[in-house]
Amino acid sequence: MVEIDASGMDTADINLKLHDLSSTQESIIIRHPEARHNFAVGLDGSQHIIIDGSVGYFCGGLCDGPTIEVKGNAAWGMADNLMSGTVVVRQNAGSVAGIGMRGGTGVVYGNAGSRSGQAMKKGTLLIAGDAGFMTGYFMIGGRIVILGGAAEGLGECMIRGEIFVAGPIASLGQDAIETEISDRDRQWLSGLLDRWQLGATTFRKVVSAEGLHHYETYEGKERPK
Amino acid sequence: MCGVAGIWRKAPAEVGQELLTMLEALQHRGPDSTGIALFSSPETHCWKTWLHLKGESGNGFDEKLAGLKTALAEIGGNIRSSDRFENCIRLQVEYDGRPEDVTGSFDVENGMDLFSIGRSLEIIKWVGTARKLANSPRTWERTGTHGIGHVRLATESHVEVSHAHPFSAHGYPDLAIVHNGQITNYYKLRRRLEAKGFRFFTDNDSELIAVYLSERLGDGEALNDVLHQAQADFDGTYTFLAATEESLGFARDPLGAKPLLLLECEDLVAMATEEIALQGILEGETLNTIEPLPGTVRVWSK
Repeated sequence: MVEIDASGMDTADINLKLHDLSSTQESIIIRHPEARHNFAVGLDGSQHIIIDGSVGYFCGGLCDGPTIEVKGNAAWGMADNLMSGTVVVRQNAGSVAGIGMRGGTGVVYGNAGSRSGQAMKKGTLLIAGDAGFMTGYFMIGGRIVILGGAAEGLGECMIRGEIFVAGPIASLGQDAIETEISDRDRQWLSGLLDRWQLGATTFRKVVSAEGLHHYETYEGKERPK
Repeated sequence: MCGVAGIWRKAPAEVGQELLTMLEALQHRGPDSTGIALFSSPETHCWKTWLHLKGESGNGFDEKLAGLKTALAEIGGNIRSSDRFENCIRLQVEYDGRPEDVTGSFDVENGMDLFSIGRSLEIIKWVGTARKLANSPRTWERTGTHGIGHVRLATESHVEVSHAHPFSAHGYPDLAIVHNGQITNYYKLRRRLEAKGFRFFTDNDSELIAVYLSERLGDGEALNDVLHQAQADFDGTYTFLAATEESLGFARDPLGAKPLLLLECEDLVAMATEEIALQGILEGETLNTIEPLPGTVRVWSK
């Protein structure tokens, strides 16, 4: 195991060091993160990084491959623009968790703040607790799985993608609708929950009604046939 | 951006020093100015006040201070002590009458900015970093039960000490606020308050929050009710903390556009824009922080 003591070290230097360890087979543990921003950003190896505490904004952002585990809380924008790999947060995550994800998996064992999965394009965001308002805001693709409740405006203006919720949904956002869940969905969900040692049985599925894909009104003209 | 911090303790502690540590950790959110409002043990026959004597140094400062002493003597106020920090001055004025009498003798038209007045409250702020503020006289050694602090990244209005946070409503005792966000119906609410005779001393939208609260608190409303009413009246984005001698509270806008993290322990309530500030005072501990839901109002009272 490789140990990095973050106290007294510049964040950029920590990230450079993590970058240099891109092919290591050993786990890398970061001590004393003290909720600082931008830990483990922009890495493209297969590192397994454990952060022993809470992190600030954008943890694991822009990564392509590594597995990052945060033992405490993560602030806004964890797994921001994740390309591939995994970011796991053992406690709560702030707002816009998994914003703009393009692949990989984000896992939050506690609750996540508002607008999680905003504009995500691909990949999976799994929230074991409750999700804040407008989760899946403008999502373009990928899947969000919420085991707790979802606050108001779930899937607001979503364009594509799928949201699965096990708990209560306060309200659906503009242009989001509930749809039938398929056996294939159930199979995928049970595989995902097994992988993260979580449990939930009944899910509801939310997708885009696709009403915002086209303009409804045409100025001074008939709607083209 | 901007960063806010607040501490509420059951027993008096070195709250000033703790706030300073929190603000140092938040400095990346606002390098323009830093300020703290500290509530220490209240004085019964004495008003504590902080003033800024604008734009002068050396003799100019001394002349203004001499003028201040004369003006206070005219109302029967006696300066018990004075401490200088750069061009700011902390006075303890022995006077049993109303705070307006004391602030009325300050020459606000000629380069005096009033930061705070109160039996308990002291606001000290500066254009610069928390580290710089740490040099101010003895404030940080004083103990208190609660306080709020702010680091500012100016988005509107000037970068100068009178536009730094925390804000108080000019002459209203023992009330301070810090704010992260923008109040977008500022002019409408300001005109409404000005029509009722309230005076504004800056162009900063955060001063509006202090004046707005002072009107309702002055009418005897509870802080919790006032914060709920403020939420109904304010447009824009905000997370602001408000503190009086007896209570401390916060309000978040309905969309939660500005972050706030809260930590509640048995003898301590701490809140800040980022967890990094809470880590600063509770080093090395795994904290069970929560982000209060958008639209939340909370108040802690003695």
